[in-house]
Amino acid sequence: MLLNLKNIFNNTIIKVLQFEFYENLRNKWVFYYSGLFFILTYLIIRFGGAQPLQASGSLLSLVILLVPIFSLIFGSVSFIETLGFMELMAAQPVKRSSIYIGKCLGLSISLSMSFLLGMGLAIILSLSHSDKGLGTIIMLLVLGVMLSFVFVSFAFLLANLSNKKEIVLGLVLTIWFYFFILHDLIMFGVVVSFGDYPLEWLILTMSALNPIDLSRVIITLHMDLSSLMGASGALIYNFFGGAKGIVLGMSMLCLWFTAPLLIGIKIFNKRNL
Amino acid sequence: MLLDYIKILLLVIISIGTVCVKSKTLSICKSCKIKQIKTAIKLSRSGDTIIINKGFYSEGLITIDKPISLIGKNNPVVDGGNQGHVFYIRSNNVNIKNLTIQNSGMSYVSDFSGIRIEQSKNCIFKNNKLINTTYAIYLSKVQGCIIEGNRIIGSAKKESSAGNGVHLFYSNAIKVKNNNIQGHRDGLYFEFAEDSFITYNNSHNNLRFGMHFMFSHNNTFNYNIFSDNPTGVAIMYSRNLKVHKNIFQRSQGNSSYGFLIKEITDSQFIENIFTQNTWGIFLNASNRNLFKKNTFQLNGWAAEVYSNSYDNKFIENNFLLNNFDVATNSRRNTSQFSSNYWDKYKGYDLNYDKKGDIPYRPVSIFSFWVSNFPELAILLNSPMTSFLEVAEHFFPAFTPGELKDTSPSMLVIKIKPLNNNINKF
Amino acid sequence: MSNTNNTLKINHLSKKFGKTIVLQDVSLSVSQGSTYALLGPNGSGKTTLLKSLMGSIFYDTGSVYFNGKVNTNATDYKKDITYMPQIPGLLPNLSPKESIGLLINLRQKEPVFKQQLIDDLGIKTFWNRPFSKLSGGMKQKINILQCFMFESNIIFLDEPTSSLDPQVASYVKKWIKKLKENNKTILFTSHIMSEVEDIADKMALLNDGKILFEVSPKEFTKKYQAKNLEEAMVKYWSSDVT
Repeated sequence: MLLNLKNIFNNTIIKVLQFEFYENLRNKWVFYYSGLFFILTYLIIRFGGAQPLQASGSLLSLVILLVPIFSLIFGSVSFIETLGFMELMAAQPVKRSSIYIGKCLGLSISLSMSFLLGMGLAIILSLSHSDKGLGTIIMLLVLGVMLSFVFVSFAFLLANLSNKKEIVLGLVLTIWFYFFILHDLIMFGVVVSFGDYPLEWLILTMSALNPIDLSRVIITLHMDLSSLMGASGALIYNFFGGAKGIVLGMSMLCLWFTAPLLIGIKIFNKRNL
Repeated sequence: MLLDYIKILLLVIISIGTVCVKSKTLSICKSCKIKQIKTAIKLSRSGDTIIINKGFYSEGLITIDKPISLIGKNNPVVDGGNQGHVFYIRSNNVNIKNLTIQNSGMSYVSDFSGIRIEQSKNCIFKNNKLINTTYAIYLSKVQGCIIEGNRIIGSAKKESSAGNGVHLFYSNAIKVKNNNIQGHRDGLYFEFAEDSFITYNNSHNNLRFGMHFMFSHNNTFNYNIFSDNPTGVAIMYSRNLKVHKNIFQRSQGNSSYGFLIKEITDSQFIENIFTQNTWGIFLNASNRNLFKKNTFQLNGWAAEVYSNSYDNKFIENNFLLNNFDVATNSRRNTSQFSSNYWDKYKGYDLNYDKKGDIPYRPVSIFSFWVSNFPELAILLNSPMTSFLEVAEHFFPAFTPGELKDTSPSMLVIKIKPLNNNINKF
Repeated sequence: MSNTNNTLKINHLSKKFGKTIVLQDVSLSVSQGSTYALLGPNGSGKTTLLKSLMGSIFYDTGSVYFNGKVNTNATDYKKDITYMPQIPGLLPNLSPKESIGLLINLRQKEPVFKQQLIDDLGIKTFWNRPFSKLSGGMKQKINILQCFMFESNIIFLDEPTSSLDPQVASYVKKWIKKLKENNKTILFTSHIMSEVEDIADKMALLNDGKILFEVSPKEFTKKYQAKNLEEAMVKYWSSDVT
C-alpha cells in the first residue's frame, strides 16, 4: 500500500508541484485574489452585521461566489498558457500524468494558500476577541480550500477539451454558471413542480451532484444559523448533519476533485501537444 | 372579634391534639418488624406517616385508600416489576415523597403509571424519582394537588406505546413545579385541566411534545424550559392563558415547532425566549392574543402566522438571527406588528424617535416558497435565492404587502435575562 | 556503446488530424554521427514529424527504431534525446535559472555544457529575470541552452536558427558541427538553404506530409547544375510545376 502510494506520488510530481507553486506565488493575479479576499472578508465582518454569526452567512456567499469562478478561469488560462513548457517537460523522460498531477496540485495549493491567507488574515484581525462561531469559520476555510482543488481540477479537464482558448473559456463560464445558479434553479423547479411526491432522495442526490451545493449545505447545516434546515426533511438532515455528515460531504468533494483529475489525465495522455 | 380568636385558638389546640394523640409513624425496612409497604398501609390509619427506609421493594400494585404519607429515607426503590401501576391512589390528602418509583407495566389498553390517582383532592408528590414508567404521574379528576421536584425519566421508544410524564385529566388547581421530565411521549399533558400553575419545569428530549394541552383554560405557565423536543409545546382549544418567561429551544426537524398554537384565544405570551427551533411559533386559527417582549433568536422561521388568525398583536419583540422572521400562507394580513426590533431591518431614523422611518416587511419570498415546500430549505444560502428576492421585489406576486411593522425599533428591546434553572437533581 | 546501433530509423509513419493528412507513409533513416535536414514549405509536416518522434504527437501507424524499436508512449527512450522546439516556452514568472533547474531536475542528468553555453551566449545578464520579461532573442538563447546543455546521442531541432541574429546563428551552426564530430545524430527542420548546405549530410523534401525525395545537398546541387542549394531548389520547384 505504502509502496503503491509512493509510486503514484513520485518524485516528478513533487518537483513539478514545487515549481508550479513558485510560479504562481509570483503571479500578480494570485496576489490580487488574496487581497480581494482580505478586503471583502474584513468589510463583511466589520460592517456586514451586528454579530459574527451573521457574518458567517455572508462569508459563505463570498466563498462560493469567488473560489469557483477564480479557480476555473485562472486554472484553465494557466494551463493553456503553459502548454509550451509542458511540451518541453514532456520531452524529458517523465510521465505526462506526473506533469499533469504535479501542475494541478501545485496550482491548487497556491490558490488555496492565497485564499487562506486573504480570508484568514482578515478573520484573525477582526474576530480575534470572539471565538464564537470559530468552528464554522474554520470549516468554511477548509471547504474553500477543497473548492479550490475541485475547480482547478475541473479547469484542467476543460482546458484539455479544446486547443482554442475562447472555446475553453466558454466552457468554463458555462460550467460555472451551471454549478453556481442553474443547478439550484432546476432543483427549485423540480421541488415546486413535483412537491407532492416524496423528493428527499432526489434532492439529496441533486445536492451531491454539485460541489458548490455540497459545501454550501455542509456549512449551512453546521452553522448556528441552521435551524431552518430541519424543514428540509429528516433524511437530508441526518445525512449531512453531525460529524458523519461533514466526513461524508467532504469525501464527496474529494471525489469531485479526483474524478475530473483522472478523466483529465486520460485525455492529456492522448493529447497532441 | 374576641370570639374569632377563641375559635382559632380552639382549632389549633384540637389539631395539635389530633396529631399527638391519633397519628403515628410506621417505619419499614428489610430488618424491621414491618418489611412491606403493603403491610404498613394495612396497619396504618388516616393521617399516619410511613417511613420507607433504604431497600428494594417489589410488591406489585400498591393501593392507597386512606390519607397517609409515604416518605422515603435514603433513597428506597419501589419497583412495579413491569406489571400495572406502581401506586394506585384513591383518597384525599395522600403524600408521596423521596421515593424512587420504577418499572410500571406497559399496555395498549390501560394507562399504567408510576403514580396513578383518581377522584381525590389535595395530594402532594414531591422529590420522587420516576424511572421507566409508561405514565409517570397520572391525575384523573383530581383537585388541588402539588407535583414538585420530581425527576422523571421515561424510556419511551414509540409514540403508540408511550405515555406522558405528568398527565392531567379533568383536574383543576394543580401546581406543577420544578420537575425535570424526559423520555416520555409528552413531558406534560393536560386535557380539561384548569386554573393550574406550571412553573420552573424542564421538559426535554421527549418523543413528541415537551408539553401538550387541550381544552384547558385559565392556566399559567411561567419559567419553564422546553428543549430538544420534536415540538416544544403544542396547545389547542383553550383560552385565557398566561405564558410568561418560558424558554423554547432546539425543536428541529420537518414540522418541528418551538411553540405550536392552535385555536387559542385571549392569551398573553410575554418575555418568552424562542431559540434554535425550525419554527419558533406557529399560530393557527388563534385570535386576540398578545405577544410582547419575546425574543426570537436563531430560528428557521421566528413566527409563522396563518391568515385564519385574527387580531394578534406582536409588540416589542426582538427578532435576531432568524433565517426568516415571519411567514404566512396568504397575501392577506390579519395581524398587527409594531415597535419590534428586527435585525434585518435596513432602514434609518432621521427624526431620532428611535423608530425606523420606513416600515419593515418581514416576509421574504424564499420564506414563502419554503413554507409551501419545506424541502426547499436545502437551498438556504444558495445564490439562487437572491434572484428570487430581486424578482419578487420588482414583481410582487406572493408576499403580503400589508404585513409590515410601521414603527420598527432601531434598538434591541431591553428584556431582563431569564434564569429558569432552579432544578437541582 | 560501440556495438549499439544508434541509427535512427523511421518506417512508414502516418498521421491524420481529423481528415487532414499531415504525415503520409514517411520513411527515412539517419545514421549515427550524421546530420539530417527536413525541408519543405510551411504545413508540410516537418514539425509534426519531430513531435511524433518526441512523443508529443501520437502517430497513427508506422514505427520508429533507435536502439531497437521505440514506443513513443514510453518515457525511457527520451533519456538519450533532446529537443529544441521552434517557440521556446518556459514558466512565465520563473527565471530561466529556475525553469532550467526544473528541467535538469526532471532529466536527472549532468548538464555538462550548461556553464559554457551561459558564458558564450551571454545569458548571465538575464539569468534571474522572469521569463515573460525577456525579449524574443533572449528566449531563443534559453531555448538553445535547454537543448544543448545535455550530452545526448540524438538531437531534434525545429528551425534552430530561423529567428536568431547572425552571430548566434553561426554559434549554433558551429555547435551542431561539433556534435557531429562527436558522433551525435541530428535531425533538424529548416528552410534556410545556406544552413542546410552548410551542415546537413542528407536532406529530405516534405510536401503535404509526403517525402518527395531524399538526397545529399551536394548531389542535389550538382544534379540541377546550380551554384548553390538555394538555386537548385528554385530550379527544382519551377521544373516540378511545369
